[in-house]
Amino acid sequence: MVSENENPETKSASLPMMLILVLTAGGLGVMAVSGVIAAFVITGWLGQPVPVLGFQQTFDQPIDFPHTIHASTKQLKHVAADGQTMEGLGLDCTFCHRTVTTQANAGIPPVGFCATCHEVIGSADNNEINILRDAAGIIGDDGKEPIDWRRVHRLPDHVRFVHEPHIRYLTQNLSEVKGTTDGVTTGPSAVCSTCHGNVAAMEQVEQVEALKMGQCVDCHRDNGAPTDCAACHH
Amino acid sequence: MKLNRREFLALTGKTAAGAVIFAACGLPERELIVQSPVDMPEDLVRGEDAWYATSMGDFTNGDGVLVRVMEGRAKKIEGNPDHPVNRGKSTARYDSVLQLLYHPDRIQEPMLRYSKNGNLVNTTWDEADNRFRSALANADGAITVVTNPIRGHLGNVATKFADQYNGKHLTFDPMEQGVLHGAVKSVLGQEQLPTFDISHAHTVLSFGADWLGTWGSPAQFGVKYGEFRSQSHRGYLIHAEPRMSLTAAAADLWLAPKPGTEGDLALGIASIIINEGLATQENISTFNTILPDGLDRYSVAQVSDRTGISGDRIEKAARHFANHTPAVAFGGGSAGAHTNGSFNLEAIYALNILVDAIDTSGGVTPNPKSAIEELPSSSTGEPFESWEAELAQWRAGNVETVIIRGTDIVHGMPNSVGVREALQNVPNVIVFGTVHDDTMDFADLILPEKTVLEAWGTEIPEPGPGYQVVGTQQPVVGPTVSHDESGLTSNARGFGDSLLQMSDGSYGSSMEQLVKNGLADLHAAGRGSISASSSSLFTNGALQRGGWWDTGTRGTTDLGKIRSTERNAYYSDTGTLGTGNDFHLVPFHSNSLLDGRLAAAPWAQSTPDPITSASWSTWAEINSQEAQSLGIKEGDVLLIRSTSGEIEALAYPHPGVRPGVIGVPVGQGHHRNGRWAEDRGSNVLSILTGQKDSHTGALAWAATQVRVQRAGRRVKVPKFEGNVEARPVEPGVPVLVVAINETAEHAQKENHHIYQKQFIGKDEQDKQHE
Amino acid sequence: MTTENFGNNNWGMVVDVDKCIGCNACVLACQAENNIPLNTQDRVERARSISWIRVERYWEGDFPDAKARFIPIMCQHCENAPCEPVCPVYATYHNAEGMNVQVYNRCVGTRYCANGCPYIVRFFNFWEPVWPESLRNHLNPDVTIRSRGIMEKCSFCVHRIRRETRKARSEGREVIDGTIQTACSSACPTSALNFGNFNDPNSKVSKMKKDKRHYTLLDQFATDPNVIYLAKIDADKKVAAKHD
Repeated sequence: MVSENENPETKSASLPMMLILVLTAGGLGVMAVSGVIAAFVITGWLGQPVPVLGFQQTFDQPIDFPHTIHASTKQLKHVAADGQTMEGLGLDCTFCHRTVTTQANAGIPPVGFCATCHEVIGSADNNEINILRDAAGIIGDDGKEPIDWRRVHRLPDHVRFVHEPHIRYLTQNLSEVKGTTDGVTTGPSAVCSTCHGNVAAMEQVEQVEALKMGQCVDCHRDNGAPTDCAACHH
Repeated sequence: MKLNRREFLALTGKTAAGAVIFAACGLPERELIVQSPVDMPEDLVRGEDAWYATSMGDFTNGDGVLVRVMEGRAKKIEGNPDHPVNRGKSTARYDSVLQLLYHPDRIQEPMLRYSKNGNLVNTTWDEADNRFRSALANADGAITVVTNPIRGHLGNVATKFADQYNGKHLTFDPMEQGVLHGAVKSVLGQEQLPTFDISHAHTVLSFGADWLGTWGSPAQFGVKYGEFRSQSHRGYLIHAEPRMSLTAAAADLWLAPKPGTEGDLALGIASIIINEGLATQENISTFNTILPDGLDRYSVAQVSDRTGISGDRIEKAARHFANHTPAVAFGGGSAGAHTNGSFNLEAIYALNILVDAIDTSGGVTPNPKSAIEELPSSSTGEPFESWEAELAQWRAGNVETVIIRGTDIVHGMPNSVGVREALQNVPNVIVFGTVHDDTMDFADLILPEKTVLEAWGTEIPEPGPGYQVVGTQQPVVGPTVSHDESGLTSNARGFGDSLLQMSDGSYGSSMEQLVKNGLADLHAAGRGSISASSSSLFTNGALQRGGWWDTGTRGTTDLGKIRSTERNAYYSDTGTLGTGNDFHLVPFHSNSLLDGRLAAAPWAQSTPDPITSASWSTWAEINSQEAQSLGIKEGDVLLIRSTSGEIEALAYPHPGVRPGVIGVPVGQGHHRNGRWAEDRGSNVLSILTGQKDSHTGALAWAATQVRVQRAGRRVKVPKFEGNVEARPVEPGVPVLVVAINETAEHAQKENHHIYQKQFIGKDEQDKQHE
Repeated sequence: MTTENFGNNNWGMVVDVDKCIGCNACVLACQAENNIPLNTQDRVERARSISWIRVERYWEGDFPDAKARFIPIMCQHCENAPCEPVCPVYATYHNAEGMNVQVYNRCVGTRYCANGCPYIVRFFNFWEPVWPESLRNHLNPDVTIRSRGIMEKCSFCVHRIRRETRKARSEGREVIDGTIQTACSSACPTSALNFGNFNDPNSKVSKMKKDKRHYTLLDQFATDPNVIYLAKIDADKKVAAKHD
């Protein structure tokens, strides 16, 4: 049998070892806990609805499509091919987004619709318009193919938004409209700016309103629209 | 430091870990795409749905449906309210077709096998067409086109194609109804099946046919059943079937005859009606003229002895049937699937004479011939006898090319006929299909086929509503979605279009053209539901409504005879099958999979069976008392053995089966058929023995006797029952039942009274009264 | 809460048990309409399958007098719903149209409501719902896909109600009785399931509700459901003499 006092060095030497062990274990523990907390915070923050898209964001589209040239009613910064200054075409929003007044989505025009004008309009060496002509099967030999536009205004999956009643109400109550689409005062185009900002002045479309639920509910309250959850969430 | 979310994102984005988390939390790229298709105007991306009317021939006996389509994708299939057959209503099968359309294992490219034992390799349509043509080149007089029973233009094209090469067009239906068609023809003198005016009948007497579940035209009959129950004089339903089907469960009086004695039961009922003078003299003498040899064998005692049903139940059924008219009698399904099947069904249909139910309100309504002359208005599987002869030809190497579409013959035929080796002796086996099935294991060329939602066609519903109907089928979605992210591509081709292409357009350039020509002929006839100034307007009208019909047309009947003389049913032998107990095997169509056509769809797999609530498996229904005496418990794996083979099934004892009978659903047991169906459950069709109806040569699929043995394992039956706790209205009263003219309130009080007596006990009750 | 824009509606259902044949057409229609996750064999075996509407089958008697009775059961949309007061985050509440609403984006998954429901019609998503890429094509864009940890239940196909009421309003008319059908009632071949507005005295359901066979499930709990059942008729049942 070995007495405890027979080898005192061993004991004194084991103390810092123990300390190191305890500290290491404790340190690892703290790191693990803080790691978990950090993961929680990060995923919590990122896990919010619409983590990627949202306020003040914009995207490069397959075609560098300028809303200004098509929708603006004003003098443009844009310069035409022949060096002349350009004025916006002043198309109504509904000219392309045809279903906005009657249906859920505003509607993206089919490529063929764009091609009805752009078959002739726009010079033959305009690269952007040529992408369109290629997709519509007018030039190139790979036939027709759809264009994948990037969605800029996107609501989370658990919200159903229908354009039709909103456009209908706002066109009848123009005083509720916020912002302006290049000063248009009549028709559906006059009300789009409430949620989309002045798209007619955007070279590249950007989401200028946060489009959070608070904004929806405020407006619904002010206008006596339903605030039942199941009005939009189902 | 004030940190907003964007800056936070930017910070975390700089670290590798942050990048990983960022990617994991991001939205899938495809959700950020709005695709703008090329052509106008229906392609417009508008977030709103379009509903297209079409027909679903292969799955629903020609019911008209509306398909909800958004942005080129089919979303939902519902009944078409305009369509006269199913009148806007549905079955537990429509929507599963969506999952066949978008099945992840759908065949994308043609596939080719260079030698019989080689592997399948993907190929192009050009090469596939060459292979197809070379298979046709030497095949004159030695070609067989095999399809499911199809009507309308597709059936017509298949027949013409076979004729062009002096070959045969054979139809295959594993649960064949040829006996029914034969019986209808011999008693009522009609080629096409009649319908039944259940809506206005006061008594319905049906045998063997599960017409509320899977037999005939269930959606049509379901609508009529709703009306039958809501008449001022609530209809009374009597159903005879050895196991409890949906129809038996809905019946007011369920008779469970020994399998194969349905004809005896029918004539027993007839003899009671005649002896008790419940029918008019005129009807009795007509009945006697079509009966070859009298009713001597059919006293109540004799019939009760042979059918195993107590005499008073038979008498009750007979008296109700004769006294509460209009009444109608019909049968099919397992009643006709016996060696004496023709006799059974002919006797059943003859009962209508006694109650004057032929071609009257509340009786049998004959259907007219097809409105487009050349189109077949009736179809049924070729009798088993012919199939045996045909397979012998294949085995002998006398058939050069076999083209198979819409039916899985390797899954559907009994083991005993040796369909696999027969197929191996055919030099060119060409199979059309959407998901790899068991027959494709023997194919030399597999061609991806369009589903009913993508192809053109017409459909003559059978049984129709009592007048001429031509249902239209049109592509409701664009080309099928490919499985990569790139978008929409398709390589599938319609069966009809492929045949037309191979025949170099000698009887039409495309199915679309044939359908439009057919509609133009209808327009020229100038009658029916659509009147239009031009044939193209007429075509549009028909496509919008899902078809054309003329309520003014009627079918005719021509009273025939009960021809069949073979009255006794013979069953397969079990003498040499080893240990176990003998049972009579009654296979039945699965409510959601049918004969296995829909097995690839996970919705069809997961929809609970109505009676057992089981899903995803093959179970065997046996009588609960009998199970108890044999020591069989729910979930016991049973070995079910016939002279043709052995399968396994999970025991499910319940009180709704005749003792001595074992009911097994058809539809599972595919070796292939996509990720959800492959090697799942057992195929009861494989152990059927080759008994045939003595008159038509059709397979007597309900004439197999089996020996059943426990395998010694027990597993949990995948069933919905028990997933939620059952909460009765009152203890012991799960569903409130009232008598006719009783109020629910009265019934509830009475139940409560019974409950107090039974459960609280008399003493307790007396105390309460004090 | 303003709901005047939705009109004075009280949505409800009348289920004629006498017509129910147990065919499960409603179950499949609901599955397809509401993006319900695939009930795989594993989920069925673990008693965690989801089906907003189910057809229960009860046996009565023994052979040869055995009877199978069917009754379809879905969320009863109770006026006094036991599930509502127990939710700590107000994710389920009763709206002015007689519907018991489940707000998915509020739900935190306590499952108190499922424990409170005597009809057991609330289902919890124990797993993230997954579909193979190609099957996502048939998902209904009008219905939210519920993620893991969320309670879900029959919504009376509220998206169909919204679609139809919106259509009526944009055409400047009232909703016509019968044009709003839930997925199950539209599928039901025998018309056992009937959907409509109880506040409209001329609607089909208002008339059916007055039938002498009407009763509500588990009325001892006084939940006051908006789903009314009409009792099953048994032609052979004898009415007992009036009891004391």
